[in-house]
Amino acid sequence: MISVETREHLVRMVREDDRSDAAAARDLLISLRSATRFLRYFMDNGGDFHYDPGQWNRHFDNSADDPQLRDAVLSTVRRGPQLFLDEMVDAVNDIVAQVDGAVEVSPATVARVLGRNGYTRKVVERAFITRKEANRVAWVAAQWGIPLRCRVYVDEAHRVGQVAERTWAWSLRGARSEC
Amino acid sequence: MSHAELLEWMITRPPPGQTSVDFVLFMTNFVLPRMSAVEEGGEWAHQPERCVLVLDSTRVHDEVALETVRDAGVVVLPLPPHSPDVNPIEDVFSVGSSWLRRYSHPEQFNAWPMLTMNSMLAHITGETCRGFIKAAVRRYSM
Repeated sequence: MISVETREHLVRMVREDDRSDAAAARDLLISLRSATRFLRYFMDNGGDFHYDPGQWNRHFDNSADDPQLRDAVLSTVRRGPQLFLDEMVDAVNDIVAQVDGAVEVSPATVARVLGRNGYTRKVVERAFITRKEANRVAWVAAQWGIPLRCRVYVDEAHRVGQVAERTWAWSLRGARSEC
Repeated sequence: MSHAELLEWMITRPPPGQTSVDFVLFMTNFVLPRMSAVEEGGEWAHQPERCVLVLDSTRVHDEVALETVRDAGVVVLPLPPHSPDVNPIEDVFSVGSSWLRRYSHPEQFNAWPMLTMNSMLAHITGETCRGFIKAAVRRYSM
């Protein structure tokens, strides 16, 4: 939202300093379209610089911001992080149905609530469940006394030779990379 | 890999990929002849060189294979799960892959895999191995 001060400045530049709309907009780092709209609003409303803040679109009626719905969605996702969106919508609607006068929520609403609260869907990883820091510390302590000259390390690597096969290449945007 | 050099290597090609039999063959033919048996009850300071085998817990390192190693008097020290950062030999693969990417072509590798691998491993000197081990020790002493 562009501030009242910026709008006042724009009107002064155009009306008192005889600057063009485009030059004033460029100096104030706002778009020409916005500047034109502000000036027209100023002319039409007899010197009023700004809409009534009470009329600003603050999305008060946005269901995604409803605290009860947010609690329902977040409790559902914490209970079942592996649920698909349609399953989660059903679970949320089961909770919502217990509230008088509530309406069913859509998958889009649930997706927005999840997105606004920082939830994204990721591949399930189990590596860090088996990797325990306590085990690692114990292992380091256990082998600390073994001299380096006593140790032999052995391991396997797969597809070592395939690293020479280049599967990525540069090409222009929109064009396939074929070589 | 020991503290001062790359001891041996072996290529297995699919199918069926590497199995625990390949691992046992590699150990008995190449690695164990160059290792020493640990002296029972002796302090680590007086143990011979190359008497401890450090390896991860991948599926091919099964109990039968590890028993073969233990029968040779070598101490087996399995790494904790999912801890490649404390295994300095992973750096050999990393540096080797970079070398292959830069200096070899897929056709060359497919035609002469042993020669290409030999060239790659010749690039990893004893000094490089010591550097890998120092880096790993630094990582797990932090």
